[in-house]
Amino acid sequence: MISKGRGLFLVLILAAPVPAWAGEVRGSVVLPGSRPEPEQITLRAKPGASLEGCGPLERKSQRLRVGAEGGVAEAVIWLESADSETVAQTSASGLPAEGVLDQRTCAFVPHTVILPVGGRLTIRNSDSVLHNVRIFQGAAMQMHEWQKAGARDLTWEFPEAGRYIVRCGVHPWMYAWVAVLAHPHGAISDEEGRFRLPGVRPGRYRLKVWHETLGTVERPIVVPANGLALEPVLMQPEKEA
Amino acid sequence: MGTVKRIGGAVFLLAALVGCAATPKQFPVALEVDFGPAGRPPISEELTVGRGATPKTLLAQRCAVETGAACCDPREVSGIEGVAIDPAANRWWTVSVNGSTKVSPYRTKLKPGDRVRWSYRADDQ
Repeated sequence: MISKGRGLFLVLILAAPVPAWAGEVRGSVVLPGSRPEPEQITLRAKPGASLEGCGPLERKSQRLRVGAEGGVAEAVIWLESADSETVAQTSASGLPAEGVLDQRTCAFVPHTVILPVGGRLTIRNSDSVLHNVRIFQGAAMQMHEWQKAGARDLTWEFPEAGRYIVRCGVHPWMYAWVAVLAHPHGAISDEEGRFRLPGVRPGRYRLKVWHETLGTVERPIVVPANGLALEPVLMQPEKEA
Repeated sequence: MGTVKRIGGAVFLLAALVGCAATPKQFPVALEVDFGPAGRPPISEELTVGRGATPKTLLAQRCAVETGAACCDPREVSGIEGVAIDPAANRWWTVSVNGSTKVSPYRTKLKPGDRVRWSYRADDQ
């Protein structure tokens, strides 16, 4: 016996848009071989600039962080549809349309953000020092703003897909990446290199992985209706300059 | 007040005329381009420029120059001879005149005998 209220609840649940195709692609990004030591940096002020409020002056670089099992943190993972049918089915973006980049202890937090095309980035200064926010796509500067301590947040919308770098003109070690994706499925690997891409329709895709120092790796994948657990995506070690 | 303004204007005009007169129409300056980590051979030449030349116009006499905002203004130099600024690698073009970096690439007027050096370098701390 089902009461009226429960019956209505069940109808609502059954009618809710939980599609049968909502498979999840899971995996990890791994750097094989010996684990590289994180690069140590020492913050030094430019003439006329202050480091007061920047926190520890000795710190680890964000360039390459590898976990105990070789997992690569802050890699950008996304799926590109490999056939026209899947392209037609995956037009809506599942990525959050807004992201926040905070300037804390003279570092951008987080180090990597993903947004869909048209996504908006909010840039905050939680520090007690002046920052100079500059956004580049390749060599082309898109935005340049000074941001004093306590100043209002800045916002920037990204009309084109691509990789953007955000730099502080006052503190040269400060930078972050913004990956703007024209595809609906994207993720950033966690500290152990793991990632999850939920809600992927069955179909053929190209899985792409990009890391700032390890470059890009891609492989074809076929996603079944119940999702897919991938073998680790192996990155190539950074080449010596 | 009006008298003060008139005197000020006259002094400014005189200074401008003296400045123009002191700078010949054509004069030699030295240009150096250091490609640093880009690994290109450096350029070191003496060139003749006209009055009003700037570090950027001097550079454009000898090299292919790309213009674009690197920091603050779209008139900045963003590439020389195909070597563009590289924000990802934190590499930029900088300019000095007689060793001083407190110059504007497109505003500072060159004087006879100036030594202009363009350097491609990483903005390491």
